[in-house]
Amino acid sequence: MIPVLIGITILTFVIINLAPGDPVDAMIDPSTMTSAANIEALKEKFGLNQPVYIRYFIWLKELMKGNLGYSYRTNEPVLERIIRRIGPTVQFAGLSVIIAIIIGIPLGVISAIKQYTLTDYSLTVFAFLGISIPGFFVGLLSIYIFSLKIDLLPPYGIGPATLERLKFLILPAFALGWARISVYLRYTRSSMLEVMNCDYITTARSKGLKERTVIFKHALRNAMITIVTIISLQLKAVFGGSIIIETVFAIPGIGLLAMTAVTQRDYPVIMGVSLVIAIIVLLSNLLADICYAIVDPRIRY
Amino acid sequence: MNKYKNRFWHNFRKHKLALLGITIISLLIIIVIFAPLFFPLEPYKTDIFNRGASPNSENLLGTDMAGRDVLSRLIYGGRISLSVGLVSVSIYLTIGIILGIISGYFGGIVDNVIQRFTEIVMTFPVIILIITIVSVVGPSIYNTMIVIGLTRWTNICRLVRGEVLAVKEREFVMSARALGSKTFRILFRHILPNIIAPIIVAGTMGLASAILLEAGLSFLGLGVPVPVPSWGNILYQARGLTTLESRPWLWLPPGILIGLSVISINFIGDALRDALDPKSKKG
Repeated sequence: MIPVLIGITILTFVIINLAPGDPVDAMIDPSTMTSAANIEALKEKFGLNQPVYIRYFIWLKELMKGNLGYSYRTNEPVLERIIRRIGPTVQFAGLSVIIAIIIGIPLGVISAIKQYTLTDYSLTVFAFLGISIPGFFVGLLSIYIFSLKIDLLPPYGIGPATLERLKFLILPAFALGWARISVYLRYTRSSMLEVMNCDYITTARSKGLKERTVIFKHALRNAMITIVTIISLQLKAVFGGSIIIETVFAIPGIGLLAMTAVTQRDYPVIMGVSLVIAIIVLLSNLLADICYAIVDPRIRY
Repeated sequence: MNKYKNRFWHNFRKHKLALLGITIISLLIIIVIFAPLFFPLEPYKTDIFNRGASPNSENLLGTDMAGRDVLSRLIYGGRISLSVGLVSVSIYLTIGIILGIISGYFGGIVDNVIQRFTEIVMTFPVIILIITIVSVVGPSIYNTMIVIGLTRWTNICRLVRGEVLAVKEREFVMSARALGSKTFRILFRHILPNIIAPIIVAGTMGLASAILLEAGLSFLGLGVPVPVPSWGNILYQARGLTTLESRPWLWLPPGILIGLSVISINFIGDALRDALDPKSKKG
């Protein structure tokens, strides 16, 4: 995990170095930069005239202190902008995962217990639709139907920070969760089928337990091990997808922040966002390993 | 009896869906290649007096906000979207296969370095990585192909590495080595043909996801730049509530075409997996 973390910072640094402007340059508070002579003095002070690998360590040291640089556009510290924007992203991304779990896992269970029936095949085709129709198109369709045609839900924005916001977040969360529904469905199905063949299921059945108890208490609980892993591995895709969905629904989250930064060529912001997301993904993978151990007591690291 | 019926259903579904997929995707390919040869299509001709026109006898799917014929743009856009998908998959298959084979065959420190690097690239969501690179190099049709290729190879690399690890200890590899074959020859003449099945499956599924990715990028305005049409950027131009509400012919058809081609390819990929690679029953 630590080597990967270091690798992430190196890769990020390499990409920013390809961009116009110097990454370490961007870390100097713009308000202290006044004249050309002053800038030179500051560069000297920060060691910007050093070779590139030394600059990497300077950049890394600043990074450790939480200095992600200053926005080229607004001159604010990048970290502050990200923190301000991360709330809406986490809210609607979290809701999207919840929606996908609530719909996907039960459908997967149904698909598994009705294996090779028409229900199963219909759900399979549905899952194919889910991974084939892009979420942003689902988003456009849902705006068209639920906001423009029947005026049930607001078409964009996030509304006030109260329960009212839920109304704003349903459509984008569904659009973001759309592909995840199918992924959870398929993995739940295959992992349920695998578990249903285990000896302890036969034992449970032969004890005379009700089929419901067998499925929900014995099978699903064991199948959850795989499902929990998939859910956490999918978090990367959730963050990736949120960039597009935030653009569709004008949600002021970090995805939209990154998109605006791209159009304004505000490199420190773009890099900051991608670094923060990579770190979140890495941490969530770690969390998945921990969850894994909690859900399955057989695993101990 | 019931069991036989179910088995029939099973085969019925598999073949039918894959056949349906092949039919749809072939039709789409034939249309995008040959339609411009037989019908006068003008994807670039703007007409300021005929902007946002609804479908009529002259413009079967209406015109966009620059007065261009939507049907022509969809057909030319299909050429672009499908070829961007195909080229980017070829790029990342190449990278993934080469790195995967090297990693699996040589093992040791080479393997370690390649695998750590793969892990690092995998930690970034592809879209983030791509928009970061595109923000530096700028959007263009070739950059779209290259960035998708440069960021999506990780799964292929892992897959190939695993397969190589399984195959490299087999007798025919040993005998090739004993006969004094060069390493390059062993890798590409003996090992690669034996692990090609899962690669074909992954490549087919990869084509579907590359088309989706191109659509997503172009929809963000970071993929294929206008005026060159692609299904994604036709959708991009249809953003905004007024267009969404009053001109569905601008955004419904490209969305449907993306979904239709991607699902057809996925059906084919699924059937290929069943046929070629019975071990893996993922998803």
